[in-house]
Amino acid sequence: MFFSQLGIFFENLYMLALDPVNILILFGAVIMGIIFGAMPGLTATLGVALLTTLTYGMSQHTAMIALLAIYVGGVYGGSYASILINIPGTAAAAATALDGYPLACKGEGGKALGLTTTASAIGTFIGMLFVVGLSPLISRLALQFTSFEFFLLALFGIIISGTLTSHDLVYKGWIAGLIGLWMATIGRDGLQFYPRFTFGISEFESGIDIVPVLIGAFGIPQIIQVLKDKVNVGEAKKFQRILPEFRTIIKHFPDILRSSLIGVGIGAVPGIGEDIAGWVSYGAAKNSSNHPERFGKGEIKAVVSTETANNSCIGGAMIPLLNLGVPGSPPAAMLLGALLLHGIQPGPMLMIDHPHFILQVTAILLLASVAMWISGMLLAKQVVKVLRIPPQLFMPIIAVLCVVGSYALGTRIFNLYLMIPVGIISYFLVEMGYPIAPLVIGVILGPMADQNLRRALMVSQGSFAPMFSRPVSLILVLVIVLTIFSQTKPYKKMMASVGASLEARRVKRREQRNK
Amino acid sequence: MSKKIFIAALVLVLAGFSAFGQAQGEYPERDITNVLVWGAGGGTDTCNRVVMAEMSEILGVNINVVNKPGGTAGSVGMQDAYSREHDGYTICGLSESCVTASVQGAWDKRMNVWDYFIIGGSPDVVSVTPDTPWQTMEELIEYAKANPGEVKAGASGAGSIHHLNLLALENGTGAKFNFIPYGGSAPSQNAAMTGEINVVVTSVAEQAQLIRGGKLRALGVLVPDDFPFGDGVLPTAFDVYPSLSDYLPLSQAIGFAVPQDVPQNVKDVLRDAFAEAMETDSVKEFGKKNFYILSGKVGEEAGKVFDSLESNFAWTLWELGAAKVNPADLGIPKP
Amino acid sequence: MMEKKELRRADFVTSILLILFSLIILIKSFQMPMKDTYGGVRNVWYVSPALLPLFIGFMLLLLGGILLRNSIRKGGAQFFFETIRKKTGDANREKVLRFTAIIVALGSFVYLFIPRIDFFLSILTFLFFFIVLFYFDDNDFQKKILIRYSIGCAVFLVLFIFNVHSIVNDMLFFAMDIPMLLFFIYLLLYTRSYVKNDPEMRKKYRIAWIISVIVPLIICPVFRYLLLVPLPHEGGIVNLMNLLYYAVK
Repeated sequence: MFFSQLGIFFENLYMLALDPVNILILFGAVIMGIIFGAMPGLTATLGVALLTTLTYGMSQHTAMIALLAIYVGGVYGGSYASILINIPGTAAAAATALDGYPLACKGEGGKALGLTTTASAIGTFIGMLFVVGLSPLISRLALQFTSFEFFLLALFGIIISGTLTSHDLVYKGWIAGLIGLWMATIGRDGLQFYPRFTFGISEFESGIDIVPVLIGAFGIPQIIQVLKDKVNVGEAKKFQRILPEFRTIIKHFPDILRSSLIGVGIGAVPGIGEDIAGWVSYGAAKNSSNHPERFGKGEIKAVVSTETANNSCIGGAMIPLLNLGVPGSPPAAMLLGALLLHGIQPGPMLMIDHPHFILQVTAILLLASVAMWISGMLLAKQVVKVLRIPPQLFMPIIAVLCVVGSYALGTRIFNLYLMIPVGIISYFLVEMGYPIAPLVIGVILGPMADQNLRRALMVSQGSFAPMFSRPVSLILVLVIVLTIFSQTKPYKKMMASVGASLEARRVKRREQRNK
Repeated sequence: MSKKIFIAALVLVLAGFSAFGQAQGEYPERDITNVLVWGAGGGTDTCNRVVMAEMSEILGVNINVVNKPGGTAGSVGMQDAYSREHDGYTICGLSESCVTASVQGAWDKRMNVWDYFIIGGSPDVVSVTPDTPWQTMEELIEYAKANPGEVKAGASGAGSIHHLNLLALENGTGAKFNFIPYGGSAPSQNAAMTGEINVVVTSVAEQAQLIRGGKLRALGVLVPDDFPFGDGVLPTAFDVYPSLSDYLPLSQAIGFAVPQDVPQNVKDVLRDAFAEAMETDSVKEFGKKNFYILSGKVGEEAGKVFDSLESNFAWTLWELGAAKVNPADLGIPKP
Repeated sequence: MMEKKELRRADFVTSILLILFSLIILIKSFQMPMKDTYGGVRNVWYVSPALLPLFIGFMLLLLGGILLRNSIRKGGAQFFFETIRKKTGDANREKVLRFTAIIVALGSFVYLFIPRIDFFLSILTFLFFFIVLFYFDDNDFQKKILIRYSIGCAVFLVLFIFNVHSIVNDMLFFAMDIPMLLFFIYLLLYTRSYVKNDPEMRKKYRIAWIISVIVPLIICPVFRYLLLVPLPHEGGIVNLMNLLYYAVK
């Protein structure tokens, strides 16, 4: 069974790779995806949407190549803008900026890009392995997520990003998260259609779009800082080779593996995607590190972890899409539409209707990750040169791109009106030591937290008991409590004393050995 | 010097351009834009893209589908499409749910400002999870009658077509469910699979895979006739509860529209192309594969469909207390 | 970020703002429906749309309180009252000027020009102004061009308030683009006269205007024809592009 599957897999791979047209489309779509990801405001979702129309006339194979390639490229491309100019091209890459930008400031932007490229490729590849190997199991696991779990997951995403990004006081991160959460409640609520906090402005009725908040909150403070305070953008002076040393990759292999697993897991849960995967993986990397204090100052480990996770998320998101017909992330939702156009109905019957389709998808994912790696390596060298442009010339162009980007997805001018105040408030928040990422995560996850909490209580008729009796939900509750508790004084004291006694014991043992 | 020439040229071009005005040839001579009021990847989006692809071949120009979701019931997209030149180069991709925009206070016109082209829709089906005891529609309804509010039924949010179908089912049979709203059809079906809800009402198109895969058990469709499905049929609920016909059918109507005052010759061109596109194999194949009942209604006939949808939706929402504007004030007749 | 001492002072102010903000959220939330049926859903406290806003309000109140306590303890409040008494604005005047310039540039671009003026011309003018503002690195020039640009914007604002743009556009196609073009040319000529005697600056001036032409020349067609995004306001130049595009096609 397994070997025959493997045979079909390679047959697919061979057939796809042999056609020069396919290869051309593969590279074209990957590079287009990278550009989409790197430009603030253009997202992988928009890229997939665009290609859906363009690929309508193509054969189903070719169309799938183009769509998956632009998806892979789009998620990866977000890291460029994050690392080089500290404005994440996509929400997925927000966690990458945390350590990627300090690296670029140190003149190691090239090295960082090279590493993320390899990490992303490996992440995509591992995600792909899961699609083919464990998808029935994982989709069953994903079905453990009912409304309570979704609510807790959203809460966890906000708390973890708040905890990880605060440089000043930890609760400033939570405050930012809560403000984001509040912004998400603006507009008609999803369950009963009641207008909340609209202040009589009809444009608010449909709620706040994510993209203008993302761009405003990350882009505008960066533009103001660079131009007003003459903050130096990273330089490409110590420009070394982009190809990472083999050793560095080996050294970080545990991180890559852990992050891939996180990415696949989160991707598989319907409704959340690359953005949370990056944060959770960042947190896990920090917890497992011997030098957590280096995080936020340009730690390679962090950059590798986040980028691996958000790319392996693609594979994860494909699992519920193909097995249940439920898209695991926003671009995957678009992909669902594209599949329907080509006469493929994803769902439990997919294995019967189109027995080789899943293998074909994995083969394409493999090709896409290879193509992404090659084009990434070629592009990174050129892209780093962007830093040689004087920032006074560069930032105004970025400003125009930010404006166009906020407008492009929804084509609403109101989004621009919104972006500027959000950006200015964000600038002041950053100045006062509030991290900005939790705010954006709050806006993204807010509707999920709101609707699922109320729906869960509706189902349980107002009882919180299921929260503690369902295994997944109990684990999430414990993790959240622990995350908050770990920031309080008693815990820190306790950990310090535990650490001291451990250290004392180690010293003692060493002394004994020395004797 | 060269700059002066450059500037002079620009000014000249601007002036010259205004003289150009709107020299028009035979419709269509340039690309058509379909402003689609829902997000990418949904049923309205997919249907429109398939038909647009065929129509663009027939008309010989590109038809670009631009998603413009947002507002209430697609109001942002409708407003955008309506505010552009009424010359047939902008059409508006929409569906039945848009008719609630005016009673929600998001759209200041009635829906009869549009001239519709209906592609079709998929009927709603009532399904239960396989681990529940109910094997037929009758068993489910009788249980829900005996234990009002105990059976958890999910559908997409308040005022959606599926919610209205569920309400009609309650009204027509006297059963009472505990309605749990979801953000869309896919999340509600997913919740059924996690066991959060027992009954789910969505369209056959959306449920097809799950029914065939045995993840959901279809009890009955909410249209007057049995619906062919795979090798067999999905039975109609009307046989058991004839009183349903007082409230149903309330079917999806996916399609597109142009403003009523678009020149007649343009409408004719579009109608011919639409009719031809609906007859192509790829559209028929798409409809069959995805369990859509293709309609192809245009003009007055299509207008009637939307009129009845509008009055039905508007008054139901008003009675639920979820409407902002009284439909009577808008001149919408009672169903 | 600011200095530690300044941070605590800022915390003092923001914590008070946060507490006020959370009170507004709470008041607004308590006005939301809690019991009656709404939107076809039986309403109990746990179904109410006010549930999450109430949670947010209480949490913000709590965290705002902690922040306030911390800032008072660490001397932030004291420092705040000290600065108020002394009235020593420790703000750096040049930085304030630069900040104002950025806000004026972005604000005029988004609120004034994008909704009403041809997209190409809006980008062109904004980009040229924004580049020369900082690229020249000359405080005197920065102040001068900022004043001139602001006056220009004020004139446009008055025109827009009296709805002149739609009247003029109705009279003659895209006529409103002409004053905008003149405004751009004025900025161009003014900058040129300023940098006349400095070859270094002249080079920068050349780069600035070339970039401000090239960027919209790339962005407009890419978004309009490749990404199929209808531009915010399509005036004379974008329509000219349309004409060319369809003629070539």
